[in-house]
Amino acid sequence: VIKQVDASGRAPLGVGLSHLSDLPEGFYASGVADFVEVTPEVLCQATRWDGRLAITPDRDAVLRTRQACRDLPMVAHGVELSIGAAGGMNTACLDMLEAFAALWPFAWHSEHLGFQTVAAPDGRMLDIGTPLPMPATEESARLVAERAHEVMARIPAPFLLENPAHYLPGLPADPQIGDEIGLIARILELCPCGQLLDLHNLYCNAVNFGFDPFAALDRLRLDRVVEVHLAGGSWHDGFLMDAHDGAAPEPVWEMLAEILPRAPNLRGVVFEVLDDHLGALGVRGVEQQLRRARDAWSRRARAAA
Amino acid sequence: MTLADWQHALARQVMGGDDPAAPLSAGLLATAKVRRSWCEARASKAARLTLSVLPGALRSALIARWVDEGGGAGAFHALEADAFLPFIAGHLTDPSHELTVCRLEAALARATAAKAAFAPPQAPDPSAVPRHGAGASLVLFTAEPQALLAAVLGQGPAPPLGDARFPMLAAPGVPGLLRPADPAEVAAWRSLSGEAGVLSRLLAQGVLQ
Repeated sequence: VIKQVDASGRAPLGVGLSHLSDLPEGFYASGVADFVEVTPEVLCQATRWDGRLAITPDRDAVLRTRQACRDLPMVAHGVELSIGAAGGMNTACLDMLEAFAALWPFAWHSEHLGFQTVAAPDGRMLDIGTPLPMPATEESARLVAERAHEVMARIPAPFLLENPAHYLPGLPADPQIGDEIGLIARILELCPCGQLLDLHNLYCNAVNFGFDPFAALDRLRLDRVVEVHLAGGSWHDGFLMDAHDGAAPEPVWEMLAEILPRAPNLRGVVFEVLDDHLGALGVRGVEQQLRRARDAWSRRARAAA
Repeated sequence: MTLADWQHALARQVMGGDDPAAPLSAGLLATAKVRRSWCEARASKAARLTLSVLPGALRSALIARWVDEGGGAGAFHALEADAFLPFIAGHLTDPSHELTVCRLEAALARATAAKAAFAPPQAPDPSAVPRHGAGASLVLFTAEPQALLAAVLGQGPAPPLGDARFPMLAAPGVPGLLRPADPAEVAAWRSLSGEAGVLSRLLAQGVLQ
């Protein structure tokens, strides 16, 4: 199992940054990031023929972005698969990923554990407009594990599932699974995919729903974590939201320090911020976050040596 | 309750529900609010040019109504533009510069989307029945196009709205996606339009095959 998630023999990538189109020219060549995380759907065009969705990489946009990233190693972070939708996942994303990899190969790819589509009575998939979490049930775990198997059979690169942030306490749960941590653990038990551990998502849920994020880390399969996400958020309507609008808060850095020595197959740590909020954080702010991540990453490497 | 039923019920609540007046928990309200802001942002982005030429109050009202009706939920720009721009067009005066801009933006969105998969045919197939190309549109400007576009960009006064029509073709294989159409091209385009099109009629009657 570990060999499949680790793609054994491949070296860790290091510290990465989500692709930001508004960064100054040359930023990605400055050495501040070892790799870049790209959301492929952003560089695609979608058409619908006879009700069937086709997602096609925009060749010019992909190659332009690849060049802007100075050909750094890349990992793909999808947003449209809707892997947990009971009515069917968006398989057009898999067609797209195959075509995308031909233009810009990725070291691994990831998706969010959740659903954002429901099936209409006529069978068409309707977009909800926002990703929603899965209930912590055996039915959810089996559905997602089966879909993840399908994804892995289609796309040769390692596949990771990301734990989501959400604002819905008290989701249905089977006693043997318990909660979101139990759900991820059960999916990883049923399927040899890896985990993208989003520490800010976990922190937001811990703050909003009143659990200890460090105790949650102890219950995760850290040996299956291949990538970590760091991000910042802000308070709205009584919830700490995963807004990707600033620096990662201190507890997230503490969580990173906690897991780095305990995640043997970790290959990269990515800082996420949205283009819309780059102005507020500033290029210097992004560099500071990446330097701090690199310090932590280097300590891990030294400890391992 | 099955997973499918649970997902449908949750989606309905987050999207406005069967009964929008029914009280929601704080978490559902926050989720619905996040969803709405994303939908509004996607809709605004999909019709950026057209919305920029409309008065602020109309702009806000159109976005709000569109999202109320379920718009803005899809992530893909071209699909959203293809749905939202005709909705906006239905609320604009015909003829008007605003409507021309709206039709132009829809045509460019379709051509841009089709460009990703477009490859010029190697050689025309003589047995093929011609039809409108995927992502192609004919837009009739109600004023001289350069003058209108300059006005939209704030680089000149709006030209007068006249009776003359300035046909422009948008298509994935056109350099820059847009160019003026000559009268023969307009006639060819129109001959393929709709059930009453000349070619359709002649094919149906066996005059052409």
